[in-house]
Amino acid sequence: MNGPRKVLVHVGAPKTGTSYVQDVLFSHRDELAAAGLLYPGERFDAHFLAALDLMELTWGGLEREAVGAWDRLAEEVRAWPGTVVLSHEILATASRSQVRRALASLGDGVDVHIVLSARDLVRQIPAEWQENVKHRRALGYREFLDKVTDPQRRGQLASWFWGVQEVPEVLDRWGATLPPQQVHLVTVPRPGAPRDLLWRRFASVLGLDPAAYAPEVERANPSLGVPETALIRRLNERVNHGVLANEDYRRFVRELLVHQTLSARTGSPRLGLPPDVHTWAADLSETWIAALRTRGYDVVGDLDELRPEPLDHPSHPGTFADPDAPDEADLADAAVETVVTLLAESARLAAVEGQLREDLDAVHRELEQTRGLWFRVKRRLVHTADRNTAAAWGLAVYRRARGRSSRSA
Amino acid sequence: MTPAGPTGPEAARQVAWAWVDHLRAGGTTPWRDFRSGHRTDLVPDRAPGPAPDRADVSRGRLPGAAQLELARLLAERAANQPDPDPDARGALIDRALERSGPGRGLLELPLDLVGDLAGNLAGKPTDRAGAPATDPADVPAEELVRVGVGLLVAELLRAGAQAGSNRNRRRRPFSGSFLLGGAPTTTAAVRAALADAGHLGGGRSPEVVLLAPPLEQMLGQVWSARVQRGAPVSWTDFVGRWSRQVALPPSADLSALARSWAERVGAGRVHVVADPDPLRTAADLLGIRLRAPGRASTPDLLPLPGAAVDLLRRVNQVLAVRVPEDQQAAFRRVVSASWASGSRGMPADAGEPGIVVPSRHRRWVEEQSARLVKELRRGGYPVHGDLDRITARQLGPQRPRRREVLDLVLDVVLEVAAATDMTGQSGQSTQRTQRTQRTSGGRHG
Repeated sequence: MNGPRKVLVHVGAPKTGTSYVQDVLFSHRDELAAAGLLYPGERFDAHFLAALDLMELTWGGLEREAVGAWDRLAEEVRAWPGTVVLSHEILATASRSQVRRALASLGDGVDVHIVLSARDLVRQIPAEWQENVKHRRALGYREFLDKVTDPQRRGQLASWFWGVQEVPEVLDRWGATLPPQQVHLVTVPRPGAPRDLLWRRFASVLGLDPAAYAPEVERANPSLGVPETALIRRLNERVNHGVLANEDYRRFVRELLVHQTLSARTGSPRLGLPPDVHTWAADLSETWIAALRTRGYDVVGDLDELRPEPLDHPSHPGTFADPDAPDEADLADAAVETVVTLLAESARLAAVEGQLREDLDAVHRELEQTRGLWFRVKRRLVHTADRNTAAAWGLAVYRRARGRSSRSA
Repeated sequence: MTPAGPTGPEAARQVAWAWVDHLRAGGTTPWRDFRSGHRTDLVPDRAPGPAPDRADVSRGRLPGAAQLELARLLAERAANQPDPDPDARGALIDRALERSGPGRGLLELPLDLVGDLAGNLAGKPTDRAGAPATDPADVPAEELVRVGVGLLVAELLRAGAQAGSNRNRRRRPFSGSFLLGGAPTTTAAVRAALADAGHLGGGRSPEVVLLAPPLEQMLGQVWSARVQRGAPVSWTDFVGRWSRQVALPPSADLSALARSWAERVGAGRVHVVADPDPLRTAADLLGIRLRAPGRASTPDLLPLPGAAVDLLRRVNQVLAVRVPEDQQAAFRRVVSASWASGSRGMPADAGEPGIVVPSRHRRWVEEQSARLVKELRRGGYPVHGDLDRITARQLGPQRPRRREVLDLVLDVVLEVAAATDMTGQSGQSTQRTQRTQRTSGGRHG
């Protein structure tokens, strides 16, 4: 490949289709590599681990697997002669010195491009709270809103939220040393847009044929409804503080209950913003749009898509459903469904356990039979040695050898 | 005499850069004082050598408020140290200014260049992006600790791993068969002292000695022991988790320990030591004559105060993502040994770690300590001291004080940086290791 190498660093933001892009890139990585584009890493979460390493972030014990992960990824980047894509949404929150370390590690003479996908704040704020709930937080919705709207941004929660969601600031941190045309802002289409529009936008930035690398299965990732989110939040209050280990929470709560069960309940009310916060978010979005227009970045989509739909727009959920005071009947219905799911899973695990016990018993029986045979052989030899001098000599040699062996062990 | 304040952003930035150079030269004037006095007269003629990474400098981007305050505090603390090396000190300040805080914390706080103006802006969040401008003196201690711990880990990695000083102690002939259990750091101290006297313990049918300080103190010691072995858990989380369990942590559940050993050696050979001088009592009941104090070896677990344990658990968090698991202990040892060295060390019976159970868990600890006393009495074990001491309420803060943790971070950073600089940078860490091993008796004694 001629010309300078190119590295595209997709730094976020969360809840803007990043997992979708990562799925496509990872599942097609062999074809992409053959076409000259590297999506490095042997495992699906290689870029996530690299981001943990770069930012020295702990993540429920996963950080132990992240030691040296960024340097390993950067080594692959430097060794590749063509285009490389790195992607993880938590990179958005990297500090300026972490950004410097990251960019410096990609090698000399390389064209670095920063990609940030962004969605309007009125959709992002509720999505971030739901993400918090899915990661064990028991914080109420209003408390969360108070924290993110506090101008002082006190505390870790507000810092994290704005660290990954404040579009002009994220792009300033990552793109400060780059020409603006190498900073790409991909806007997430409004609801009702063609389903593949976001992917086509990503593909145009990555230089891919969107049709050639479209995911084989239509990926559906519906958000939780209001009663379902309220249920998980209440569950968190009961299973945190040592009741459920992180790995068990990931498996049973996040994967089984949230992703496989409650996300499928699409009939319950969707989460939005209360009117006061909606107005606040809309005002803030205007300042962002104005600031971004002056930066000269490559906007893929339309900056106007960062402007939230007004409260009276038909796409708005209508009356605000408050997850801090959910409809208890709806919540009970969701709770019954989780109980059924967990019972079914318990029954499945009990069946697996029963099968494993049977397998173990069978192995024990075989072992006993083998032991019995060897014991019978040795007893026969001992009896023979009582009558036969050669056998007695052989037994003595065996015992001395066994003794030496035992000592040296 | 006092000139007027800066009239524009550029003038304010120039004053801010002058303050940065002031800090790099070892200055300690707070930003508010420096700014209000236009103290450009404090800017040195010659700033120390170039920073390792001055990319932000060339773009004119100032370091964050947290980094600046940490640098100022380091300079303040270093000013009290003997024989400062200005170049090395300047390089350390540069590293502090460059280092981001690890993990989750506040966003990078921009320096409040013009005082009141930033206060006004803070009330209008839609007028600007990014975190609110902040006077370094107003950076929360928690954030300073976070940034300081990041710097500390960087300094530890720069110094290189310190090899352990496993000392082979000689067992006295015919030394008795015994086993120590109970409060972990007290047990470690007693075990080390007995081992120094040639009594290593063990044996097939040992005399079992369970050391039983007040339960609250014992819980603190269990927390300390876990952190010294690599756990990142905070004191409040540790107590919170155990208060929801049916049982106490194994090494603090003396009745379970006593019961278990009684089944193997008989209740008459399980001794419960519940007095303020566990070493003397344990030695007496085992018939061991202790060596004169002065050359005691370092126990496997050190009696650290709450602030030192809290610092170590924060270091553990960063080490977990920076250093392979099997190499972390060497770095931890440097931090805990730093506490034990010099005048900061404390006697083993000083009630360490000196923090108490948060008030919401008070009832739980009272119930558990009462249960322990009742079950130990019922077990019929020989008791040395007063069992009711287990229920004694401790005095101290309910969590480590952040300011103490911050002071400790600063001290250890300066100590590690100075040791590394003295031995000719990280490339010669092996020599440092060897020298440290040779002198470890005096250093930790």
